[in-house]
Amino acid sequence: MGPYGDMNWPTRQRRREIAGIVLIAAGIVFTGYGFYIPAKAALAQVLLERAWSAATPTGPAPRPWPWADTRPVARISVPDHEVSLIVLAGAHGRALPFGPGHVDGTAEPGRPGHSVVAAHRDTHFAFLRYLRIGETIEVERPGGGRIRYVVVEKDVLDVRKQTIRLDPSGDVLSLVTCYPFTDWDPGGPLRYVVTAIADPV
Amino acid sequence: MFCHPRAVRIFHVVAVCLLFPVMSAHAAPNLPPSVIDEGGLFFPGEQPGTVTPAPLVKTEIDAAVSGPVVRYMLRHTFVNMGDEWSEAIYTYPLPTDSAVDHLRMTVGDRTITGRIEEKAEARRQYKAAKSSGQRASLVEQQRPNIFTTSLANIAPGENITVEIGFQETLTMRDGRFRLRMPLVVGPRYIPGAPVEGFHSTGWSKPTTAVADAHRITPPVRGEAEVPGNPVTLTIDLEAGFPLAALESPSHDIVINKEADGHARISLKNSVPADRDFTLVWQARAGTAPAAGLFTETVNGARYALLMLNPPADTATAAGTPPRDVVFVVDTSGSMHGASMDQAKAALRLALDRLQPDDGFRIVRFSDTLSDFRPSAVRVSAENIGAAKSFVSGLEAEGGTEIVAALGHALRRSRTKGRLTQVVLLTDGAVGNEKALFETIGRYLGGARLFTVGIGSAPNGYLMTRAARAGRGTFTYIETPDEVAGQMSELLVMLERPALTDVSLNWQGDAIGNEVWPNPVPDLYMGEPVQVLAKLAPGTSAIDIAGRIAGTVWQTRVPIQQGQNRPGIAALWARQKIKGLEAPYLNAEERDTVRSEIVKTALAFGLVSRHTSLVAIDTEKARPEAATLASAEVPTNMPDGWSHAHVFGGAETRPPRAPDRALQKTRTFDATDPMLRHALAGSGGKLANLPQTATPAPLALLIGLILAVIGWWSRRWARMAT
Repeated sequence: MGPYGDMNWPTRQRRREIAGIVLIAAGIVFTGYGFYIPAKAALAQVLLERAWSAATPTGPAPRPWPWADTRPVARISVPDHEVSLIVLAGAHGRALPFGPGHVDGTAEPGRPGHSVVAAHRDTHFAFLRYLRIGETIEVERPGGGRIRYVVVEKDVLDVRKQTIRLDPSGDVLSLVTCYPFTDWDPGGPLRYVVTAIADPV
Repeated sequence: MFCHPRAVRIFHVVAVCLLFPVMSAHAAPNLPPSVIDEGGLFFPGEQPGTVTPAPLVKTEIDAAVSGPVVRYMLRHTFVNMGDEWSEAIYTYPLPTDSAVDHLRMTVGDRTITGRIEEKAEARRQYKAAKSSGQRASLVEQQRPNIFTTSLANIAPGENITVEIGFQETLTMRDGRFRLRMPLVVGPRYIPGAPVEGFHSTGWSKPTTAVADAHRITPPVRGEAEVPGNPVTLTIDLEAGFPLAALESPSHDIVINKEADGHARISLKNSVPADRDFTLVWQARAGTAPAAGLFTETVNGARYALLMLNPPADTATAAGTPPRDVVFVVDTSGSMHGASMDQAKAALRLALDRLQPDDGFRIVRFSDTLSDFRPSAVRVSAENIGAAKSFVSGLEAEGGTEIVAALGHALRRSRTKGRLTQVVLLTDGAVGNEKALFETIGRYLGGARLFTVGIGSAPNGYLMTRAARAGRGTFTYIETPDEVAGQMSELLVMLERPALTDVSLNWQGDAIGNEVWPNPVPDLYMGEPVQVLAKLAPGTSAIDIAGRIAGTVWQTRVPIQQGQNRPGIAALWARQKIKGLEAPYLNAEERDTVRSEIVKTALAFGLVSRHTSLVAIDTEKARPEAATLASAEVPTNMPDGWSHAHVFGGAETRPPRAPDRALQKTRTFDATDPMLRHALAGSGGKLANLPQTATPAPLALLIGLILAVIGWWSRRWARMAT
């Protein structure tokens, strides 16, 4: 008889059994989360597409869903890669899960000036990896109006030491995502930057 | 019980430890490990392992083509834009097997010429000069087509020009020459340079910074504003025959015809290039020389480049030579699985390609060997069908008696008047390589041995050497989807009537001519004989003989016909080094070969795997008080940069020239001292970049690991009861 009397503690096997179940459950939760992120990213773009078509040249596009704290500001498409994405206002944690975000303080995409758009490397901007110099990016403004940009540069920079210096006089579009594309660590300091300039047609 | 309980507990602990720190761990930025694909100019960064791209001002290439020989002068001019003394490392591509024999560094009005040293010694001298404040540059070979220049002690704001000279030979195919110069010093790097932003501020008027800026600001509208690293290129072409065509498939060029067969070519404008420059010229019908002999005398020794086109009509008339193809297939245990399937697929493909006049045999071997038929059989629907079912029935098991099998295949393959081609399919998992080479040497005779490496880890050393001993080629099939492509290439080559048994005989009292490549390989249709030789004194003529489809073909070239060309000696030495630098060598051979390479390279002043060019200024430039930007940093090569990943492949389309200059957009922030002053004038706004990766891949990984551990733990718990 041990010091705890008759209390029926689980056996070692039982404990391991429970530990195993807990680990499997945790595994399922993590895996589910891993699938949920890209699924959300894809679904959001469908809803955003709807909000986008409701936009008019004069007024801003409506909120894509009632509780959204962002709204569509442009559509970026790259015909060569069959990519079409609705860009959201603000490149912050509340917008980026749903779509590429327009970095505040830079020109709006498709408007004169230097515009910077960021998105996640493993969802919306995964295609940047395959984008080539000379390819065309089309930017559509709310309610119509289209500008073509031509990719002229691809670059990697380290945010601890570098950033994008805005070109005050040019019509430039910079697309930014994390780098390297196949890293596990979501907090790395490297960024992949594609620079395109407006193609005067 | 196969596992101690403690092991399980440790697993649980590890699982938990793995989980949580990983979530917050901040991995150091690992630049992707890769080969050095293409060039770019880099300053060693402040942290070990980082590199800071620096501006490359311009690239100038002047090439002089004289018959099949091209002499290049390649100049890179760049500027240290920082306010500290710097060391720069620059990596760039050259045509494969270029003989680099000249280095000259121009800093201001000082010119320093490089000299050749063994690699380690050159490095030592360079480092010593670097730390004592002398200007120094070092040119090293990374690959036969990738070179690196290091430059130490560049003053702030200083212009530096590094000139290298090299040559290559071009091969005429069907009366056509093709020159390729890799030009990757285009927008793909300049864009790669964060400090590029200062091009537009610091160098907006390149004429003030660069002496001959007219060459980089050609009078084309808008072009003067084209950003980045402009490339200018001129070629002085003396074809040696009247030209039917002269064009560049890759770039817009301007052609000034000087005379028949003589032209000056330049790039139409200096738009940054992002792909190889290619120039093609074609001889007017019937004017292409059948033979060309070029010589150079250096230090009393005479060197010759001989090019010879076998008469095309002989080859055409011959058609496909009558031949027997012997397939020798390894069915040993190591081939089991995917390797065997690949071998079978390759065999079926080969059987389908055989022509009605061909004969064929199949020999399979493991520790036993068997024939499909006792001797070669003709191709017929019936025979091919039977052969295919023989192939299908092959099973991999047992040892690998490759020597006996190859001996068997070679010995019983002779048929007079027919060419024998032995195709050996194996993973080469044997150790008795020497015996194999001896067998090949003994029994090869007029046959040719082509080795095909199967599977993920074939013995490349064995196969390459076996193919060389068998005067054939080595083909490597790594994955099943490569079978069709690689085998077709090999089979097409085997079908071409080849000029075989090429032999050179030297007239006069010549002994000890040293000829490379050695032996002269078989030539397939359209290829000329091309050899470089060091001629012994007294050589008066060269007799070349060979066989095309059983017919003997021969010709004589008197030496005094040779035209004098500078650079032949260096080309001979480069060819010799290439011949010595076999990709697969065992350790003892490597040492012998190494000293032979060093000897040759030093004698001819060539950059090689073991020798480098180094130029050191006698004058101390950097004051003792001034620090070198990379002083504490080990001189890291940009190995970590994969330009292929970052900047795309060479086939990218050129950027469309913008109407206005793109003002460069990236920069370092003001904490980087090297760039502080340059940044001061730019006044640009900086963008805040957000975090742009999701934890989705990591979550998936962790989830799967947890589930596997949990499943394993439960399974173990049950087994314990």
